[in-house]
Amino acid sequence: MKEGELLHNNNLCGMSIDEVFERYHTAVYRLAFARTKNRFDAEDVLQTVFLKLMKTDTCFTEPEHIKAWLIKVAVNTSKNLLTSAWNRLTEGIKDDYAMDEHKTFEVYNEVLRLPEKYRTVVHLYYYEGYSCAEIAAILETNDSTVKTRLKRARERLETALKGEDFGV
Amino acid sequence: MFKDKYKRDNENINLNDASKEAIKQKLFEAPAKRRIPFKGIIASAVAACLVIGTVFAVNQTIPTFTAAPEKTVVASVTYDDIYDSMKGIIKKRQPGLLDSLVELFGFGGMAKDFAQENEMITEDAIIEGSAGTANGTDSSTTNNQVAGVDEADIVKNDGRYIYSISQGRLIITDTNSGSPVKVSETSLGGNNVINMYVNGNRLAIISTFYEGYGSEEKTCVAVYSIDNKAAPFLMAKVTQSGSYHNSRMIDGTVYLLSNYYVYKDIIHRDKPEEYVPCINSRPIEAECISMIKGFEQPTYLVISAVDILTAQSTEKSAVLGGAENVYCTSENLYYTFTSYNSVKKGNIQTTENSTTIVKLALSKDEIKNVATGTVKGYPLNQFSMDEYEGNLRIVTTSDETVVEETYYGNGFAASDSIVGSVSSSSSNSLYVLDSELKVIGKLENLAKDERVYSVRFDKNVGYFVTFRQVDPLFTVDLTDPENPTLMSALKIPGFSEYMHPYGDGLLFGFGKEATESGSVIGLKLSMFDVSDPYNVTEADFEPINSDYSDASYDHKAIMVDAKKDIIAFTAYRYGNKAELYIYGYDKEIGFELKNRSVIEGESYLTNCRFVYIGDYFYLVSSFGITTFSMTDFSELGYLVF
Repeated sequence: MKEGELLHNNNLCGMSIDEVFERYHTAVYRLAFARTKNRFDAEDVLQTVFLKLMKTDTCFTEPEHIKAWLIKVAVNTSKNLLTSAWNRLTEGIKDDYAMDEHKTFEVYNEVLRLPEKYRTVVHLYYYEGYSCAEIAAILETNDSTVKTRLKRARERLETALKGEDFGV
Repeated sequence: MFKDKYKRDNENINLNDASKEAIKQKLFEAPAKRRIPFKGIIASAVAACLVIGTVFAVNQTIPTFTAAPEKTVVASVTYDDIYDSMKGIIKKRQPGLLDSLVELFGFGGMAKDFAQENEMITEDAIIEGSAGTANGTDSSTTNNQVAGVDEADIVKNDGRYIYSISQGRLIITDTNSGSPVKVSETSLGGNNVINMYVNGNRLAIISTFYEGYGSEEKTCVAVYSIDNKAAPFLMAKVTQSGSYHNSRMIDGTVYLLSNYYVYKDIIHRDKPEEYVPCINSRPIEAECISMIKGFEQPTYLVISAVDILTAQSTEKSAVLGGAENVYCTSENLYYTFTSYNSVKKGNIQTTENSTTIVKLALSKDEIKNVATGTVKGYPLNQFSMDEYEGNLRIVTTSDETVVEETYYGNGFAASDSIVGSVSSSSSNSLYVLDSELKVIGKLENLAKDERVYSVRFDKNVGYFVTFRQVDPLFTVDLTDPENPTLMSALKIPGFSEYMHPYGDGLLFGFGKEATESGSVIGLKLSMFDVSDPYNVTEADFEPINSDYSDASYDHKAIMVDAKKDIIAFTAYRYGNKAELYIYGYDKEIGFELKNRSVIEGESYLTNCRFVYIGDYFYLVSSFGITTFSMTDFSELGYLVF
């Protein structure tokens, strides 16, 4: 028997947990990282999200629904982190993506400087490509709130990243 | 395009292989145990002390300190006792070489810098800024620390009239429902006017002046009758020795505090007016004076109680030992002063600072000593202290400076020299003291090598901010006074200089924005979500493109009113005109700018105040009053003084 087969949720559109993980872990991780700003919490969120997936009764009719569900749960999970403050205090972790990757970021640093609510809409809009209505559904808020947050975020980013083109 | 860049950047955000395997492993095992949130005293978990500055090799162990030496208050001394102690101190006034070295390196200087008229509010009940209603309209008050304890300010209002001090004059303006009209302008004489109180038909002006042989500074409270707003008249004055330190008004009694430093080098036993503070030019009776045993400076804290209705001095008290910070509730007055304790082993001198806290019970008929206590370090300002359910909570920063002396020469030539190399470290602590000022709970050694920048207490929770490069906002659980526990530490760039609770679960911070490496960029507003104290987050922040605001240094220069949803302050960029900013806050959207406008008058305007009465918002500067609508903050008019 393939690893993961025993534990798969029958309603994952015919995929095993293993397959779902392979397919979506990157998206979930990147969203979690944008929200938590460090790999420890992002990994925490990722693990929690998939554990919840294994236990949920939700019936998914399309793979995209699974992804949306994972993202919604990731947003909710990253609100309730209890360990992050302790980690930072005791281990002196700085925002470690720059250290680890030895790469330069064009705009990521500035996005991470935004407050959490703004970072989230920016990530869901520009990285995931969701519409404002879809984002509103994921965040359980209303359309105009999402639009305002995006507008605010863009204003901040425009100031910080002079000359940047945001398209529509 | 931003979108492409953002996507490209994200390609570098990846789960590493080891973690991926670990997670997959966990997913296929039995369900992971739920993490149990743990509370614990953080002191043991914090990294070892950093030593910055010159590092030197030592072949002796650095001495450690036990509890700081206690200071006691000796009550009701005689003039002779005072004379004898004073003479000794005045003789000792030449600082030693090592003392100079320690002073040179700015040891503990912070305490004195902040202990000026910048009274910070310590938390008692949450004051949102609107106190009374006059004729049924809502009006604002001074941003007081404690309910029922008024603090003097340069602008006051009584729900209809605005009283302001402008260029040595008292100006009374009738707000006249949004169309202000100046009613009177009264010269206040040549004194240096500081601030005032208003109570019914009485107005008390506090000022300082120099008098007499040797030009000693004195502080004065002048009580005026304002029955007739068009013609205020002076009823009586009370003067006391010393420079203005602080004041409060409780139930119509003004308590005036001054610091009186005896400059004279020669004093005569039979002339107490030379070494004892005077009220209305008469030396205070010996039985009203106490002495801090082992006081190091010939400074008195002078307190007099003046009834604002009768303009009479009803009670006076003085303590020889001086005061730096003062925190006042409606019943007690706490003052602090810092001392430095040095221990020398061989050629190494280690100095630490500690703070003595003295508690006085206040009433217009009696001011008496209740207790004394000592803690390590020094408080930032009066906001660092707060009394709740009889206990005093205080946050301090302690500095430890180590000076190593190296002696060059053979001990005879004038060119022999002593060179000191200095290293210092600091850490921050929170102490809980009982009503007798005995330490019953503590949280020490937090944020090594950072200083406290702001503190706010809110009943069972304490918040404080330290900063060196990044600002941790510490949230401490004070429910059990004997066991203060750290609940969270939020690290963000920049720091808050003033914090103010903003309704349910929110804490507002006004401060500076900085880069990750600690360089200050400008000002900023922060709103912290403290609804879950174990997971405090910064819900929103708003950078303010300015270099300077009075609000960074004076809590009375900012209006923070959650009920009316107003955050008002002025700020300017060097070289530009000062601007008024009015913000609101929405839980979904964050900070919302309601008004931003250039202020009429001089460009480097400071000391503006904000008043709202009914449907109108008034900006009061030393040059005039600008009126705004409370609904849309459109500007309605400007009255020149």
